[in-house]
Amino acid sequence: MNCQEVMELMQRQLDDDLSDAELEVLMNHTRQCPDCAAMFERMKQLSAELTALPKVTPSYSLVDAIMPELERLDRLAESTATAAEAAIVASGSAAAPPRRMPRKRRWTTWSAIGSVVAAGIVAGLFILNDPGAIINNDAAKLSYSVADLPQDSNGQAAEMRMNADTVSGQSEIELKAHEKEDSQGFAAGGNNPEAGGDVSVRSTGNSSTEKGIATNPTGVVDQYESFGGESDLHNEGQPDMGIAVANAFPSPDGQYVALLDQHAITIVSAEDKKTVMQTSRKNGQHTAIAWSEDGSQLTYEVQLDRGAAQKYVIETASWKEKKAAH
Amino acid sequence: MVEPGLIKAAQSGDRDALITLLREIETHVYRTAYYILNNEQDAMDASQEALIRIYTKIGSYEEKAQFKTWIQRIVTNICIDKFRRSKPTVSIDEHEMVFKEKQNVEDEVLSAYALQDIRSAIDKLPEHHRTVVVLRYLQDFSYNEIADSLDLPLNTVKSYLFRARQQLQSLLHDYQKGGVRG
Repeated sequence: MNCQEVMELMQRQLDDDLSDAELEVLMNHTRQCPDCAAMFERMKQLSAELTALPKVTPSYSLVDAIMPELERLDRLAESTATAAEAAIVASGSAAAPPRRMPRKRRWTTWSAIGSVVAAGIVAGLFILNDPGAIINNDAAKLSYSVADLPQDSNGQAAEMRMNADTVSGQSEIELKAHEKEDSQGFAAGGNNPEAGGDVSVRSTGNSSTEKGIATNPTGVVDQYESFGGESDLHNEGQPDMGIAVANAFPSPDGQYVALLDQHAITIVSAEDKKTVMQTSRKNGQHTAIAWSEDGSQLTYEVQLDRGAAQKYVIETASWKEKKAAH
Repeated sequence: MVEPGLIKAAQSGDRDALITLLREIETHVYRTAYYILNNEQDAMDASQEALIRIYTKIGSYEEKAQFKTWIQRIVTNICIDKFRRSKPTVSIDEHEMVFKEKQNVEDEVLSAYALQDIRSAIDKLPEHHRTVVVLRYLQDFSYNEIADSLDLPLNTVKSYLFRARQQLQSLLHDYQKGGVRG
């Protein structure tokens, strides 16, 4: 056996891969060959050093760090699941009984995303019709991606998309439904216990076309339209679709409402619901959101990694945001 | 090792089980990324990306593969992608090494030097050779487990590992002969 072949035996011995017979061949050789003996010693030394490499651990919990992203993915999956269900209901019987979409997460929806283009557009409409949508970055992202999807050759999809664009471009329309509510009504999706992702289909009849869709040649689209018709655009004062606005903070003078999304705060005027200021996205949970008594300042804290927090102050006079010392 | 029951629960949509599972594997994921990328920040990024991918893809895991090799396949793929994208840079090691064994101070200093040598030698290996070494020594994987993780034939795994060790040995031998370590 030559030295090259012995080298392979040495290597395998480092991994405990030798039979007794092979081990004996190796040992016999190294006893007679000083070069191979020296090499074997160095290889064993190397292997020992590799085994002793420090067992490094992350300096902070990686799972905690990705938690906001996981929650975002869950919401995305849920709205997709809802949309997929909606498509099934819509393409089925026109007299589908009222049903609630289950909230349980569905792994299968990940693969369904690409295939249900029309359903995605419905999801976009749900979100755009929702009062929370304009302050929800994630929802906005979804609606953009829906708009970017390749369109079906039939023109309805394109029409739906145009409609979505129109709605997203005019926040007054989206908020029209809430004109009768006071600023408190923004919080927690009003008094509807089902708010928070569930969608109930209560109306299956045809609905008006005042949203800008001229004609709906097929029953399927009529059904979609009826989803739209369920929305607050037509039934004022029923904030029940889509994602609820769980975190709203009205200013003491009732002039503004601060709406908390995952990583940003949007301040809207209580009177006309127009956005007056939006904070830049910050990585960390937003806490301790509070107005000063005279309504001149809004303060909040962003929880950073390793337990630290950064405080921010927004001046309502200038709508400027700055970091504050603790 | 992750319990099969926990994996099943996570796959059936139990979110808490899935989060528990991620917590159990995060150190293993990080360790591989750390030694492939040789940089703490990159390793943090890569392992977070891997954990997110595991979170979304848990439904696609099939029992015919070992769970630990499935995880390592995900993290090594992400690392190799990252590794290819990032330009070679001079890495300044900021990572705090913690030594489990408390020897005398002199030994500790010596082994710290040797450690720097060995890390810089690993850093010189081609990506696949390095990955094989990391799975063999940091994850304590067998030839077969490495082959499953990297989707490579068994013989290729052996030849990568043997060549990697030979190259490391010769690099470290050079460091020693040069007399200047580190």
